[in-house]
Amino acid sequence: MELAVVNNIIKSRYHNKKLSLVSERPNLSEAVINVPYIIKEVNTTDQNMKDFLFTLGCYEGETVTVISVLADNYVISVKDARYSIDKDLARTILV
Amino acid sequence: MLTNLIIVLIIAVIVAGAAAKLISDRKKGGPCSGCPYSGLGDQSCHGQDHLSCDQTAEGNQ
Amino acid sequence: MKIALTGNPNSGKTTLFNAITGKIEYVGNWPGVTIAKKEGDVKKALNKGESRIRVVDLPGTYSLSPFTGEESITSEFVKNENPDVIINIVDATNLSRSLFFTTQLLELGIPVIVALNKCDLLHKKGIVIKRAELAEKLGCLVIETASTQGHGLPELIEQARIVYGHQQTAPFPGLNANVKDHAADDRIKHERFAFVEQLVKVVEMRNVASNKQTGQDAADRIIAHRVLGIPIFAAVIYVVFSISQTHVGPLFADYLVGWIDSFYEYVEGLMGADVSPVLSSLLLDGIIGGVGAVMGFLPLIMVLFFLLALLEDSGYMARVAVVMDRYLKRVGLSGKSIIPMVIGTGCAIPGVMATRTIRDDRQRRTTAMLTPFMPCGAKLPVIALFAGVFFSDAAWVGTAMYFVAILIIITGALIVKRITNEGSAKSYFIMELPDYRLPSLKRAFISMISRAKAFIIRAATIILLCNAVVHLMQTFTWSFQVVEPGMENTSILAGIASPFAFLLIPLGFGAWQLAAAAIAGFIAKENVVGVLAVVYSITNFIDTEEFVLLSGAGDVAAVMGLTSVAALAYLMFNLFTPPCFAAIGAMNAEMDSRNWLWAGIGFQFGVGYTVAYFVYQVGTLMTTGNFGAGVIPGLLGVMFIAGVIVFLIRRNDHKSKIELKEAV
Repeated sequence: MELAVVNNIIKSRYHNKKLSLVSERPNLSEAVINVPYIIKEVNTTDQNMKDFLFTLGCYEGETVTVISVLADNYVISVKDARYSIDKDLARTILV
Repeated sequence: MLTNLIIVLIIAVIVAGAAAKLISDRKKGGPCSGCPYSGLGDQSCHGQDHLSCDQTAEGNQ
Repeated sequence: MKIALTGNPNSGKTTLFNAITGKIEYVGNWPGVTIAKKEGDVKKALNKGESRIRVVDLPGTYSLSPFTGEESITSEFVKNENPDVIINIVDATNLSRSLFFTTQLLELGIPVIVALNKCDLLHKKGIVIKRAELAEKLGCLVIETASTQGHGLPELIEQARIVYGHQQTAPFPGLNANVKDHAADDRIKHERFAFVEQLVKVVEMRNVASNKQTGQDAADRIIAHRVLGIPIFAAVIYVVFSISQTHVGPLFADYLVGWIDSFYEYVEGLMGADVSPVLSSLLLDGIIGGVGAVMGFLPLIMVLFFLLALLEDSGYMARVAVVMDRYLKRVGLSGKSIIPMVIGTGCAIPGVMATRTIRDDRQRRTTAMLTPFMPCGAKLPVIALFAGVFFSDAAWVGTAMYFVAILIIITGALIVKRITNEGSAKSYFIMELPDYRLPSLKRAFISMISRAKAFIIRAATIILLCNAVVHLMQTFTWSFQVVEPGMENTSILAGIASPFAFLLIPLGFGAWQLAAAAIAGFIAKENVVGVLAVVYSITNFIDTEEFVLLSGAGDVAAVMGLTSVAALAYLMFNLFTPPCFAAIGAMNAEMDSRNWLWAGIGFQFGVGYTVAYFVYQVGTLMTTGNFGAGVIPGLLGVMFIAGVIVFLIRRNDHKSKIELKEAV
């Protein structure tokens, strides 16, 4: 019986994760290709990554353009350079 | 007999030369003579003493 | 006087470093190639003064606030070791990002010279930069350079000597870099970018906005496509192997092997008949034969190195990283895991060391454990030997080895993820995509020569020593008597290797000679070739027709007593067991955990054994209709390995359920 409880918890956790995807704020992962967007916020708890993105010029108020979607990666143009970022990171960039 | 002695000397010189080159490379702390990408950092590692080849950047003089 | 080279990743620091010091450090057209600082002296031709000038090449960074380990090397060096002059290499095609770092450097008080690098690309991209105005606004010297062509370098060094000892003043007031308060720091960073933006607006004119689609972007959509990317990569590797292994390589190799053979005969004739057979055999078969066998592969390897250098220079490898990242992420590795693996195709040691950039412990250790599966430069002669002797130089052998390695890495990562169950650690992947460029033949040539040099040095030192020792061990019995003809099994070497050979029977290669070669491979993988040459007295693995004529005993394959299937199994066993000791040492350093190290080595043995077992048994079943020798004991061995893994996974599942329960 206990095992069933635990399995249920695992299931519900998985379910929650799915749910949270639906109620997302607009971010780069849904951006239209070739349209410049203004970054509203970089929404991550990973302060290091946030600082790093900043030094690339990827911070609120800056312009970002999705050039193409390759495999599960997004090629973005920030300042004058091209970067490949993954979907998780694209989700944190709110536009 | 003399020829044998000469051959022994030649082999000794070759082997000693190879060993000396290995040891001197290690002492210099230079790159691993083997790595094609030698010079990528401080790979003074060679066989046995590799455990001392730690990740600090300072050893790369 | 000491000059520090600083700049963004992939701005060309190492190329500039090589150009002004005359050194040959590894350069790649993608970010993150330099992971530790490197030093050298400015070459005489460029240094007009008397005193020597020391140059320190630092890993690329986007700012002085470090993000990963190798970037902190840069900020610590600049802040603590007081370089006399800082040369800030700025990618001229990307001023708006690069100058952020420049503004930080200008505040340190150390004289800064901006090297406006990649100037040769400005015209092509339709960019014009007003250099004088830029220099004036920054308050420092700005010199146009193109490090790939050596343009602007004498002036750079000359100016460095002139500014030496001066005090640098920042061109803007009030941006104190030493604030500890986070909010203030944030405000300052914004001000910095605002300053840079204004500056760039004035000094730079662009015909084409950088966020517009270009031909390169179109190429990326095909080359890094989610489905097409992999067959394209396979095709590229196949072409590389078919040129080096099937077509161009053997052409040169036949000549070289011919020379080595005549050298062997020359020495043999020189010694005459009255030399002790033990000594002549040690010199001829042990030293000349063993080293010669390895050296014979030099032409093949050089062609391969040349082609790989062209690929790296073109910017293609960054795209491979993007294609592969997708698969590695799914099995719980970091997006950065692909970089060590690509570097590992050259040598596993720098590959393992490159895992340092991965911050998550589990991901870093897993990557360090799996990187050595990539066939490194030392494994190439082994591949070339077996492809040549058993598969008539087919290019698919080498190509297949890379893809088997990738499969093993993905499966391995999946197993580690199940055992440790920490796969939820979130990691982001971001990598700069460098522009494609026409690879330079000159750079590829230089890279090829330096790697060939390393190959020769290695053959003449560690390989030579190992071969000599192996030959002695093969010549003498345990009571230090010379082995009687026909009694080869009594030698020291046979005595040591036989117990291991027994374990290898189910894999199709239970001969002590083969076991000895595999063991010697742990010292250096080329030893597999050298030791095989010594124990079977074969000098020439390449011109096999010649060998048949000379020996009359049948071809090399017959001498080794291997079927093609067993040979493939043996090749894979050598490639996918633990790497050489030096690489294991690097694994130890980066993993920083004895448990992980031993688990990693155990895993590597398990993989080597299992892969070779299935290749041999399934292959033998397919070719002859029957299983090979020792199918049942081998199966028990493989099941034991699988059992250990399943046990570890189960134990972990159990543990995490208990943890969950406690959490509830």
